[in-house]
Amino acid sequence: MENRIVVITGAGQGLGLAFARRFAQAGAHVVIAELNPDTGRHAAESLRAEGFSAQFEPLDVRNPQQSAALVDRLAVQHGHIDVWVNNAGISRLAPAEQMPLSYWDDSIAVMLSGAFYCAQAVGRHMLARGAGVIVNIASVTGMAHHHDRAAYSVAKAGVIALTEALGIEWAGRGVRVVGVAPAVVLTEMVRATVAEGQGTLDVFERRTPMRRLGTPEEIAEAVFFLASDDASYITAETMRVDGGWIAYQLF
Amino acid sequence: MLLKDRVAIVTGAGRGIGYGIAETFAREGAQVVIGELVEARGREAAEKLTAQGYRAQAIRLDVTQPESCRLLCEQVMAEHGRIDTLVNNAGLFILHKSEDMPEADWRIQIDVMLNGVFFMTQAVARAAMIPQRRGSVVNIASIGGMGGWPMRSAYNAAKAGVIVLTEVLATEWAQYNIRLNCVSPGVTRTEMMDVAIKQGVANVAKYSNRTPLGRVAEVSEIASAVLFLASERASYVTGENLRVDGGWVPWANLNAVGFPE
Repeated sequence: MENRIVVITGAGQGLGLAFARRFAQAGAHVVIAELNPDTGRHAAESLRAEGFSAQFEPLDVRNPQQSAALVDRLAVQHGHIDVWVNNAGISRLAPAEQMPLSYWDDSIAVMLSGAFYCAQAVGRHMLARGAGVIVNIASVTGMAHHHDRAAYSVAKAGVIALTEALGIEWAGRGVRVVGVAPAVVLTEMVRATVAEGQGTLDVFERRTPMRRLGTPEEIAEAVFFLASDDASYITAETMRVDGGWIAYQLF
Repeated sequence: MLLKDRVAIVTGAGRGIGYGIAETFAREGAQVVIGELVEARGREAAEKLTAQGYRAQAIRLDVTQPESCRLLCEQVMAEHGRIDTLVNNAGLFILHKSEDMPEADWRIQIDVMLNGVFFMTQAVARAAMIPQRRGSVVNIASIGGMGGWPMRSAYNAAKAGVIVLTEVLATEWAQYNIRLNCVSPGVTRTEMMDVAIKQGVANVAKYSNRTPLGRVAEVSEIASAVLFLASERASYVTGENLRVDGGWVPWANLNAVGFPE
């Protein structure tokens, strides 16, 4: 991974920042592509302060012109983009019959359409070079559903199918497309969900065979593995990193 | 070295994917125990590894016999005092039109690839992993375990059984800090494939064309996935079946010629 250019969307905090740190530790140059300029800039600065190689680039994944422009800019600056991680996500929860349509639209726009727009933009670059890996951050929520999450879970289920569709289409042309499906990880987004009264941590822990939440570092290890050459025969596949959440189907 | 000083048992590691896994584990610092039905094959494999400066040994193992599994564990515990990782890889396939499948051929495949996985995993859990409150098991399933491949009724049913068995054990033994996962390889270049080619039931070009990636897997590509799942890097991964198949399963395959051709 040394000297590879790795772009991570939504890397200003949470899982995305943990991914950035993991790739940076392995010698990659990481691009923090982030909607929020404060967290994005701060993330890049703190990685550089630790001695890693990082830059911040503003990016609203809902806007395909922005992702296309970012790909072009990075291609000029670095010559190549090796890994792109579609991690940007939002949590807009509400009972389905009451859900404001903006919750649905925003969830699809950020996590499904945004992932496709970025994948298309960077995919063109990677296909032209005959090399590259796209990692889509899905969720077990796209596989086993809980109430109030219709928008989130459908976007994530869509991402799983997107990983398959792009993976098979671009296989044999040098570009792998893979995914990681975490369960509940203790991040800022999850803390906010709990604060909203949308579930308590012990509910999630009890539901998990391993009886604990995952750490961002544990998710990052899977992202790193799938992006690496050690996963050269893996494409169109999403790996669950969930402490046994989906496997457990009894009481 | 991801597996420094870990004790790892790999069944059916005399050749093919099993040997590749054993070699990868040895290179990562493990003491590798090759469990093999054919003693000479196991011994030769262990010697190939020790000749490279790795730590390896072979013990005769018949996974269809719980007593054989128990004895292997007893020997490993006596010599090393721990078992950190088990890879259930031992397998075979005997193809038949299902209306012609002899009872013995059905039974042996289920016995080795489903019963054998359970017996060996149970033995290792009892002898080491449950008392240790630590362990990682990787079961070699197959993309065949996820769908219908004509002529492979026993093989595919056994592999499908392994996938769900792994989920059951993962949920039961998470409380003992034991993780269990599957790797489902796509078609991989091995001696077993050469056998199928000679039998006239395999054709590398057909397999390559059926794979979006356009080629069959190398043993090292399967071994690297097994290594990841066996290691601490996969500390939150359990009950998972990781496909290493070049896109085979999710592809709609409009080139299909159908069966029978």
